[in-house]
Order: sequence, then C-alpha cells, then structure tokens
Amino acid sequence: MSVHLQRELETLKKSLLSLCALVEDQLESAMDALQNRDGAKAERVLQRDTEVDHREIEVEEECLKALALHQPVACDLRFLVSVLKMNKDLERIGDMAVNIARKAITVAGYSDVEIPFDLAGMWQKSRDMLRDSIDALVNRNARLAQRVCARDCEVNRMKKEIRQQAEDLLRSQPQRVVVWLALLAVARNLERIADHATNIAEDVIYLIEGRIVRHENTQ
Amino acid sequence: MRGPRLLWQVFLVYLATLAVMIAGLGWYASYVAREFYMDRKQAELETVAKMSESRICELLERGALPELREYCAELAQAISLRMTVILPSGQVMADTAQDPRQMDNHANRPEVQIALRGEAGRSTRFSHTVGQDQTYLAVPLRQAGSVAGVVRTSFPVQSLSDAIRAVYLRIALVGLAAVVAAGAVSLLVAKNITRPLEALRQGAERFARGELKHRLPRSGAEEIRMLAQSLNHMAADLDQRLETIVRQENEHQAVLTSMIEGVLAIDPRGAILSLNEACAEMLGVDARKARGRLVHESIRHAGLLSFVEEALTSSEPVERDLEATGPGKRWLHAQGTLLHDGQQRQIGGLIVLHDVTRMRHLEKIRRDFVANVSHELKTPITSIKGFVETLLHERLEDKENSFRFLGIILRQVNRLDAIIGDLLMLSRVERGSEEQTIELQCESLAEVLRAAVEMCEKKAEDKSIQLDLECPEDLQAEINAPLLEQAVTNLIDNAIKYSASGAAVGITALCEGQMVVIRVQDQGCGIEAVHLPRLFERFYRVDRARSRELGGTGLGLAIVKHIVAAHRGLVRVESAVGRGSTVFISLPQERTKNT
Repeated sequence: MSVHLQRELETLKKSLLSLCALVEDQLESAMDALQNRDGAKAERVLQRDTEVDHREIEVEEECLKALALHQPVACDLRFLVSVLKMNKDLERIGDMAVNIARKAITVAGYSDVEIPFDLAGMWQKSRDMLRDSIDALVNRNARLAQRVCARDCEVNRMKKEIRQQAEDLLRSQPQRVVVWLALLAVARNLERIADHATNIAEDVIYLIEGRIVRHENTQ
Repeated sequence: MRGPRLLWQVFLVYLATLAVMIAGLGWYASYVAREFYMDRKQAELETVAKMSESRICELLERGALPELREYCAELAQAISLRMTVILPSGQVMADTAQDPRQMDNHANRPEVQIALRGEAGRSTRFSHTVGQDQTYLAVPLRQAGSVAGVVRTSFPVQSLSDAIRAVYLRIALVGLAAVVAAGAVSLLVAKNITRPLEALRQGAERFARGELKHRLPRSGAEEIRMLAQSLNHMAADLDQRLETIVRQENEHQAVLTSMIEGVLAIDPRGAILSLNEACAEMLGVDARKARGRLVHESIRHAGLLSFVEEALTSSEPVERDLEATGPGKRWLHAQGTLLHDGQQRQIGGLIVLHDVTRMRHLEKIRRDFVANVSHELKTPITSIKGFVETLLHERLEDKENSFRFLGIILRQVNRLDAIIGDLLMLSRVERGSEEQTIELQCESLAEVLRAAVEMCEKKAEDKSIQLDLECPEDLQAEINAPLLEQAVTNLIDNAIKYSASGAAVGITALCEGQMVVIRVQDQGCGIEAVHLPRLFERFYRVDRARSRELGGTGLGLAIVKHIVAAHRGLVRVESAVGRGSTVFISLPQERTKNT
C-alpha cells in the first residue's frame, strides 16, 4: 500500500467532504431564504454555485490523477469510482439548491402569501436523507445507507400530494399562479434531491460491500 | 533469539570439566595399575630366577636336559607361567609349552637380547607358538659373574587385561559416582544463582505492566541484592513521575472541560487531536466519536472547514464569524492559530470558538431600537414641520384649515410627548431596578387593580368592552403601587386595543404558593407564536401599521417587563391566534431576605 496513494486518497476524501459540507450549506441557505422570504440570502446561494462547480471539477481531476498515477486495485479502486459518482450527484444537488434559491427570489416578492404545502416536512426528509447518506459514507455504515434508499418512496409520495394540492390551488386561486408554480418547482427539486441522496447511498453500499444495488427497489 | 540459559551454562560447564578430569584421572590410574602389576610380575620372576639360578646352571652344565625340563615344568607349574630356558647362543634348552628341539633360535628375541646383556628384559608380541599376544619376561642366569643363560617366562596379555579390567571397572564406577555427585552439587549451585535472577525478572515484568508499587525482594548474593535495590529505586521514581504527569493531565482536562469557549486542536493532516465539551456542543458533534477522525468527517460545516484550512496555512492568527448549524440559529466567533510544541515545531492548529449569539442578538436589538426611536420620533416631527411650514406659507389666511392644521400639530406633539414620556419612564424603571431604588411595600392588590381598571374604563366603554375584575380583598404583596398600577393599566389598555367591540377583558389575581399571579385575559385577535419571544422588546410590533393606527407607542410591554423585573417577578404571555391572549404577572409575595 503505497504511502503516496494513501495520502492521495485522504486528500480526496477531505475534498469530497468539503464539497458535501458546501452543498449541504447551500441547500440550507436556499430553503431558509425561501421560508423567510430572504432575497439577499438567495442571491448569495446563486453566487456561491461557482465555488461548487470549481470544487466538483477539482475532485474529478484529483480522482483521475490518482487513477492514472497509481493504478489502484480492489477497495481503493472502488473508493475512487464511488467518489467520481458521488461527486456528480453532489454537483447536481448543488444545482437543485440554485433552482430553489431562484424560486425563493420569486416568492420573496409575495411576502403576504403563506406557503400552503408541507414543503418544510418534505425538505426535512430530503435533508435527512442527504445527511444520512453522507454519514453512511463517513462511518462506512452500509445499513444506514440501505435505510436511506428505503425512504425515497416516502418523499415521492409527498411530492405527488403537493402536486395534487397545487392543481387544486391553481384552479381555486389562479391569481397567485406565479407563487404556486414556484413552490411546485421547489417540491420537484426536493424530490430530485432525495433521488440524488439515494444514488449517493447506493454508491456508499458499492464502496463498502462491492455490490451494485441500483434498480433493486423499483416499486 | 534466545540465548543459552545461565543455568545450563554453569551446570554443563562444571559437569563437562569434571567428567573430563575424572576420565583423565581414571585413565591415568589404570595405566599406573597396569605398570604396577607388570612390575610386580617381573619382580616375582626375578625372584624365581634367582632362586633357581644355581640349580638350572648346574643342570645345564651336566647337560641333563630331561631333568632340566622336569625341573622347569615344576617351577612353571608353581608360578603358573610358561617357562623357557635359553643358552647364550640362543638355543632353547627347555620349554614348558613346546618341544625345544622344534623351536628356533631365540637370540634375536628382544627380551633375550636384553637379558643376555645382564638385565631383565620385557617384551610383548604375538606368539605364533601359542597363537595369542604374549608378554615375555627374560632374566639372566648368572654363574661365576657371567651370564650363563636366560630364563624366560611368558604369559598371555589377555590374563593381564582380565586382571586389569576389574580395576578399570572399579575406577569407572567410582568415577561415575563422583561425576554424578559433583553434578548434583553444581546444579544446586547454579540454581542458587539463577533463582534470584528469575525473581528479579518477574518483578521487572510487573513493573512493565504498570505495578510500580511492587518492590523486589532483596535476597541472595550481594550483587543481586544491589541490583534489586536499584530497580526498586527506579520503580519508585517512575511511579512518582507518572503520578505527576497523570495529575497534570487531569488538571488540563478539567480546565478544558469546564471552559465555556470551545477548543479544537487539529494536526497538520486535519485530524482532530482533541476537542472539549463546549466545542462539541457548539458544533453538534459527539466528542468521543470525533477524536482522532478527520475534521472533515466529523464536522460538516463548510464555513468551519474553510476556516480550518486557512488557520493551518496562515502564519498569522485568523478570526472569523461563523453561523453554526445545529439546534437553533447560533453565531460563533472563531479564532485560529498555529499550534506549537515545546520545541517550537508546528504540530497543527488550534481553534477557539466563542458563542456570540446572545451578543449579536443584543446588538441587533440595540440597532433596531435606535432605528425605531429615530423613526418614531421623526415621523411626528416631519408631520409637524410640514404643517407649520404650510401655516407660515399661507399666513393663517384660511382660518378653517389653520385650525385643523393646528389640531393635527397638537396631536402629533402629544404623540411625541407620550413617546418621550414612555421612554423616560422606561429609563427610570430600568435605572431604579438596577440601582435598587424602587421601594416595595406591603399593600393590598385589590386597590391597585381597581385603580388600573378605573383608568381604562373610558376606553373600554368607547368600544363597549367589559372589564371584569376578580381579586380577593385580603390579597397583599410587597409592591410599588404606582408602578404596578401603570403596568396593569398598560396590559388592560393593550387588551382593549386588540379586542373586537363587545368582547370581555378579564383581570384576576390569586395566590399560588409563595407567588401572587395577576392575569389579564382578552378575547382579541391573538399573537402568532413566532412573535412571542420578542414581544416585550422596545418598539417591537407584530403588525406595524395597525399598531400605530391604534395609537400605541410601542413601549407599553417593555415598561411592563421592567416594572415586573423591579418587583423581582416574571411576566409571560400565552396566546392563540383568533382566540385571544393572556398575560401572566407572577410576583413574590414577600421580598426574599437575601437580595
């Protein structure tokens, strides 16, 4: 086990975790901006997305360098492959955060309208799924990762509910169509965040156990 | 690699030396015995020769060979040896084992040659005649001073060997016994040396396991005893040093654990060297799980992670404000610097976290207050200014409007007066509470409440609101009557303001244990939960527009809060949107002895 390779892998782990922290922060800020109609905060989320993109590219380049220089095998190879995949998912989640922030700016203009959907509940579930999937990575806990995969259907259900409610509101209060559509978009983004969190969890399982569990949970 | 055991080294060396020496001794003894035996045999033969010398010579001279042979046979039988008589020429005259006429000339035989020279001769060789090894002893026969012949006896070597063997055996047995005995003794001696060493070794192992209170036995040889003593001193010394170190470590830990500030130490790699309880609580991590892991793994806070990077790479200390994730919104002030060990080498970084949430909150309140005061005062003044300018401009020509404007100006001035009056009252109460100059006296509560209700009666009537007062007549408490009246008035005022027409406002007072509780309840529009924590802040309004419309200064509840504080009491609000609010004032009935 080459010392250089070990150091590379550790640096890579740190970079990935920094990216995780950044993305989680972005999401938190975006949802906060939405719920408190804080346009300035949403702007900051938009600006910070370039940093997310830069870090994603950094991580990818580090991975490729490690693969080329050290040609690792077995668990090290699995680690690098998993990092490459999780990296992509994290960047996509970052994009979701940007989308939510944009909608937050839209909704901030309608400070008198209450949010009628249970976005807070959905957000909590998605956020917990993301946090747990990264915890599973950090603590190498395959069982936790499995549980994350199982929670995805719950979020999907919530989104369907919200969509139904949105349809009703579009009919009953059409003057606020801008707000309803923005909030519906947020719900869609939250559902996709949950999907990406599930992907990350599946990558973690692959990393730990070496088996690919995708598409096993089709309902 | 294991070296040879001392025991075997000592014992085996002794044993080997002893065995070699005894073997050598034994061999030498056998050799000496053999020589002795031979010499004795030789002496015996010489005696026989001497004694038979004259007779044999006589017989030889006469040439009486048969008689010679007979005589030899007799002698030979007596000494049980083979006997031969040889002339100086070498011719064999008589032999007890063989016919001499068939024997060849014996002059060349070594022993005969020696005997012919006049001395006893001896030789050992294989005899064709008899077919085995024989030893020959030849002795000269003297007659008249010259050698007349040689008498030679011989006997098989075997017989000598047989005789010697018995001696050998006895010597060997004794030797073996000696070796065994000596071996046993040397084993004992060796064991005596190694046993104390073994005890020392076991003692040293107990030291290694940490039992530094154990003491080695000081027995055995002087050298061993000295060694044991030195080791005991060393153990005592180590024990003391370890105790000191452990004590210091415990003191450090105690300091770190009790600190309010969070302390986080990281190594150059980014792994957490240590973090104290305060830090773990601020960042929402489990201290035990976090130690030793990378900071990126345990604390997923983007701001903190980038701060850590900065602290590790910067030569100057760095500071930053961070927003903490975790329960509630908290603000942390982080200071980072490089960590140096005793030799000034950099071994990582040190981060100190201060929880500045409260300070920020207070700052925010202060900022808001200043902004609010400016705004509240500016608005009426702007209005007054505007109308005065208009009046001056129109030169009081339009009497109707002039009166109207002056009315407005008066209202605004009253408003300013009210605001400033409330601010002064607030300031007074605050100062009084701080300097403890507010006097409390034991008085009837019912009086105070009745006075308050009276103050508000007019306003209640205007809105057709009913004021219900319930208070036991005998209820007393240590209060400052005018201030408490003011507070209750403010509460009733609020209740009236925010209730719809025709509603009821209930004022009750009762005794709960050591406390007196005054309750003002309305059926108004209620207050949302999110506003409750900030309700008693100066100028805090739930609904800005509506509140000003109703004529409030925004300071009413702040005044209530400070008056209640001056009474060492507590005030809280319960509210349900759409149903109403209730304000509870709890006052201690008696002033506690220790203030």
